Amino acid sequence: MTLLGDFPVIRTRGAETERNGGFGDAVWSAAGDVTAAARQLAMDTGAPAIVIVAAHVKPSMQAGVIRIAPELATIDAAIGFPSRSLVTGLFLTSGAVLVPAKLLQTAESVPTPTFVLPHSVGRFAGNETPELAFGNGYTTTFGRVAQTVEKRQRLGLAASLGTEALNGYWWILGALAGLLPQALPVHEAWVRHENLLSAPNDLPRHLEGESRRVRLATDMPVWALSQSDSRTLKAMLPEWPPSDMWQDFVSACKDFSPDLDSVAERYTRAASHVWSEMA
Amino acid sequence: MRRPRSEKLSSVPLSDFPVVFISYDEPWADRIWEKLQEARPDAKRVHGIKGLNACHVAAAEEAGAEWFLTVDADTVLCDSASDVTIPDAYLQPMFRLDWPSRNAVNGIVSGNGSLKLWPRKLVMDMRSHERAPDNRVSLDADVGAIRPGRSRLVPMPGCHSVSDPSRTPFHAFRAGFRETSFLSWLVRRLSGREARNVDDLAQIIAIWCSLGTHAPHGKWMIYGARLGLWAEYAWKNWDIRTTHDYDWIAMFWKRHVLPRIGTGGERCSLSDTHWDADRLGEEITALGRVLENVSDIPMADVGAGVSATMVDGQIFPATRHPAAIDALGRAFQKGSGSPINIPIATELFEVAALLEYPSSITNLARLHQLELAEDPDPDFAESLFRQAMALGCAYAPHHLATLLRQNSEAASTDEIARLVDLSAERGFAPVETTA
Repeated sequence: MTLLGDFPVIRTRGAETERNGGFGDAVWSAAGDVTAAARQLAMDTGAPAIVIVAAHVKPSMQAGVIRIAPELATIDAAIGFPSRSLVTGLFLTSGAVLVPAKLLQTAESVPTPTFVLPHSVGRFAGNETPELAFGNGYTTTFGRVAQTVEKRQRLGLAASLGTEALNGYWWILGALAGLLPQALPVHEAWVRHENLLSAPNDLPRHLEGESRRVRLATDMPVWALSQSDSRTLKAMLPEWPPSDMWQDFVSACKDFSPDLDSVAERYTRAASHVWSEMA
Repeated sequence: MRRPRSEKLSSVPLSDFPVVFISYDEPWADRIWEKLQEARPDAKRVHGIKGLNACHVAAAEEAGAEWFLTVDADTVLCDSASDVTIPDAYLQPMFRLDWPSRNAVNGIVSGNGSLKLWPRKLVMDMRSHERAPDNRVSLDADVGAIRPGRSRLVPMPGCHSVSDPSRTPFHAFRAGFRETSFLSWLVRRLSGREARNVDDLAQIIAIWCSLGTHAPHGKWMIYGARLGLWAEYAWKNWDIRTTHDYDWIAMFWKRHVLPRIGTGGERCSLSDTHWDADRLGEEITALGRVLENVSDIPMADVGAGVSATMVDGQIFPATRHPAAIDALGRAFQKGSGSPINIPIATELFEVAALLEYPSSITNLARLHQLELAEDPDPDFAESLFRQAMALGCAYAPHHLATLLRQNSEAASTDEIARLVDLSAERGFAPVETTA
C-alpha cells in the first residue's frame, strides 16, 4: 500500500454539508468522536493505518493517489498532509493525517504528525459563517513566530489575502486578531467585532482600521486589500506548497532515522528545481 | 547504460568554466562587471555588440573554450554560485544548461537574466534573433530549433543569481516591454493541449504587470510590461521581432513614452531622466483598465507595501514546468542528444513525479514495465500507472492495459478494454495495442 487512498478514510464533520470531492468512500464522524471512530475503523478493517481528514477540508479528487514513499508507509509515526485555504490561497499544515493503527490504540486525540508531506490533500474551507471564518483565521496566525524576513512576509499575507472569499473579511479580521501582541482568546476577540454582523457594509473600512492597528503594534506587513486585488494576487500564488514546508519535511526525515535519508534526498532534489533555497 | 543507483555521478564545478559578462548599453554595467571580477578574476567581457545572436557568438569567441558561462549585465552572482557542480552526463554538445535568476523587482525566478552554460558549437550553429531566417520569428535562443529533437535547454536546480534590469527608468521599461510582449506572443500560439502552460504564462505576465511598485523604477517596469501586452493585443501591424531592435525601443521611449508621461519631480541620478510620478501612476492604471477588456490576464494596482510583501516573501517558485524536467528524462532514456543514461532518466522522472507531473509518473512506470529500472517491479509499475491515470495522464491507461495483459491473470478483458478506451478518449490511441 503506497497511495493515500489505499487506506481507510474517516472525515471529520464540520459546518459544511457538501460531501463530494475525493475519498468518496470515507466514513464520517463528529469532531469529538473522530479518534475513537478511527480506532474502531482500524479494528474493523484490520488496516495498518487510517487517514483522518480534518474538519472543513474538502479533499481533492486526486487526494487518494498521493504517493507515500515506501520507506514512510511502514513507520510508527503520523504523517500529515497540508491543505490549501479557500480564503487566502495559502497552504495550511492541517489537512489530513495518516495515523498508524498502533498509535490509534492509545491516542486520546488525533496525533500530531511527525512529518508533513508537501502534497496538498485538498481545500480548507471553514468559512461558512462569519464566526467560523473568524475563528479559523485566528488559528492560522495565533502563536506563529516568523523567524525570517520571508516567513514574516508570508505571515502578513495570511492576514491580508481573501477579502473576496465568502466571509473573507471575517477570516482576515480573525487572522489580524491572532497577530496582536497579548492577543485576546479567540472568543473574546470575536466579541470585539461581532457587532459588525449587523453592518456588513462597514467591513472594508473596519478592516483598514484593524490592519493599520496591527501594523502599528507589530510592524507586520498586513494590508487591507480590495477584493479585486486580493483575487489577482491569489491567482499569482504557486500550486506547490511553500519551500519551508518542503524543508521541514526533509529535516523531519533526517532527524527521524537514517532509513529516511533516501526520501530526504529525493524530496530535496525535487524541491531544488522549484525552490531555490533548497538547492 | 545501467548504472547502480548507489553510484554517485561524477561532476564538474561550474567555476571550472570560463565566464563571459555580456553588456550592451547599461550605464551600471561597469559596476556589476567589477563585482563579477571579484568573484571570478578570470572573467571576460563583451560589450556593445548589437544583436542578441551576435553578442553570444562574440562571447563564445572571447571565451575560447568548448563550454562557457554567460552572465548578463543586469545579473549579479550569489555566493552559492561558487558551490554549483554539474553532473558530467549533462555536458552534452547539444545541451545548454540554465539556472534561473530571481528578478529583484518582481520576485519572479525565471530564465530572464538566467545563468547559461553554453557549448561553443551550439552557439556557432545558432540562428536566432537577428540571424533567424526571415520566415521564422525568433524571440530567444531557440535552442531546440538548432538541432530539432536533439538540442535542448536543460533546467538546472537552484537559483544562484539576482537580476535587476530596472536600474534606470528606460531599462526598466525596456525589460518589462520585451518580456510581456514575448510571453503574450507565446500564449497566443500555444494549442489547447497546452492549457496548463498557458495558465502558467498568464500568471507570469500578471506578475510582471502588477508587482514592483516598491522598487526604485519598478513602476516603469510595470508600465513597460503593460504596454508590451497592449502592443501584442492591440497594435496594428505589430511585429514582435521589433523587441530585438534596441534602437527602435530607444526611439520609441524618447519620442513617445517619455513625452507622454512628461517631466516632473522624480529623477533617476544614473540616467538623469526626469518624470512625473503621478502621471506615470495614472497611465499604468488606465492601461490596466483597457487591458482588462482585451486580455484575460488580471492585474493588480497595489501600493509599495503590498508589492514588497509579495516579492520579499519569496513566494514565487522557479517558473519551470515539470514538463521540461520530464523531457530531459526522456532524452536520457532514449539517447536523444545524449548517450542513454537510465539512472539519470529515473532521477529526473522521480523529480517531476514528486512535483505531481502525470507523464513522469507514467514514464517511471514504463521503466519498470520495460525492465529498464534497476529492480524492475511490475506491481510498482501498476501502482504508478494507476496514480498517473487518476491524475489525468493520457498514456497511463494504455500502458496499464498492456501491463495487465502481460502480467495479470486476474485482469478481465473488460477492464483492459476500458483502459484502452480511456486512453483513446484522452487522445492516445497508438495503432499497435499489444506490447
